[in-house]
Amino acid sequence: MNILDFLTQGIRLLNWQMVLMWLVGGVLIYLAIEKEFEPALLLPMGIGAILVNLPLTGVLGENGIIEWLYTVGIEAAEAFPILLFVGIGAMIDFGPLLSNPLMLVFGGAAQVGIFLTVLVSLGLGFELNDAMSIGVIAAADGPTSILVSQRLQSSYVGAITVAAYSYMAMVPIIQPFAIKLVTTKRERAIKMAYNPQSVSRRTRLLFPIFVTLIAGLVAPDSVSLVGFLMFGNLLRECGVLDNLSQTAQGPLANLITIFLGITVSFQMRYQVFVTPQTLMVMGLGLLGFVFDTVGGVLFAKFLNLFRSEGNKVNPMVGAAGISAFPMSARVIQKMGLEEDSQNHLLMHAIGANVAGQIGSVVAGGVILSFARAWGLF
Amino acid sequence: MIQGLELLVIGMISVFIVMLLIYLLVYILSRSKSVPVEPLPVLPAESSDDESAVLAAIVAAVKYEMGALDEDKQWQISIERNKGE
Repeated sequence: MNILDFLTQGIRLLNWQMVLMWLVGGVLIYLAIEKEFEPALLLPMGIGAILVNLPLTGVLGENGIIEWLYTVGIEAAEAFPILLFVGIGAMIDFGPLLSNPLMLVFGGAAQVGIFLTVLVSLGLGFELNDAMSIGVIAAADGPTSILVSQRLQSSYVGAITVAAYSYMAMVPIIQPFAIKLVTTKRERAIKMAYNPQSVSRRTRLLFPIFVTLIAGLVAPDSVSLVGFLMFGNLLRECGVLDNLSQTAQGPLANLITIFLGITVSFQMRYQVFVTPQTLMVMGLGLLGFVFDTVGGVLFAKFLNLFRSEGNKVNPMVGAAGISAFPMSARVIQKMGLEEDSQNHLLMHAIGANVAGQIGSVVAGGVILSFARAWGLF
Repeated sequence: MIQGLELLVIGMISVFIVMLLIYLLVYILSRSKSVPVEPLPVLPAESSDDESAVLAAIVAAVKYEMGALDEDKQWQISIERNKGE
């Protein structure tokens, strides 16, 4: 072999799509490091996007590590996203929700963005499995987005993952804009009294078990999501497995996050990523976050029609019913204080935000149940 | 589009049913042993030299911090421990 040919074969096989994907990878790394947008996921994805878009790359193919990780860790049984839920469950304190259970309804209402986005995607001509996968971006829940889009064999897993994590990090920009679209200054200034009920240990222990049973009976396909989330929470609350709880919250979650990010980049190969549809997926994801926010706010306003003066819900709390925790709750607290320096909404918003984490996995399970009924997998 | 509308309506109803069932669960669990959280007593400035008032305030504050108002057994254990000491 000519030594010059050998040394330049990589350069000769280079094309503009690969270079474009390096730039995409660079942007993700920039957002992760400079803007601190979900750095734990975006940085590995950024590096991965570069690795899988090198000519003759060794990370793909039969012996390629990223392809192997994808096959084993995501394609086979969605192991990475599901195992990540154990760590997330161990991190969640359901206390603010259990002491103020009304917030649960907002965790349901804000999921309307998912279903509306599916509808719009279908209107734009996407296939049903792709439309359902795109809709789940609005769950504001990365692992659920990956799991649903993978199980439905969507062609846009990479774009959906990038959109889900990027927009989660951009909640502080997206939500204030959407909230102000549908609320008045007076509504945003509504104060809410915080009178938490005490939460017994028995309630904390029974909650994850019964939630798993309820979700499993109504939406069986949500069991892998809800069940592992609640398993992690039971590790936290049981009080006799502190070491396991700490491991789930720390090392387990961190290890899976590292592998998940770089593994998902398998779907960022230029052949599947550089398409006009990718831009549409990104746009629809953004729309989904706006739908979620507006849906939560409007539902809170609807509830206020039946509540007495002095007992009204600040409509902004409804917007916290998405899964992006704790970013959304922080946004609501900040916006409340902007309207009135004594308007503390944090605990209500955290309750709604935690409810959103349950609501998003339930909605993901409902989507999968429909897909199964329609023969999509 | 029909499937999308079906998903929107039935999907949202399903999500709400699950959330309402969870609400009901939390309601039942909290009703089974409901003890209201007592507000943290504020120590009046003029009674700072009143030993029993100070003691009562400290005891209430510790109970509050322990989150143990409904955990009588846990509280009893700490009382017993204090007696022992």
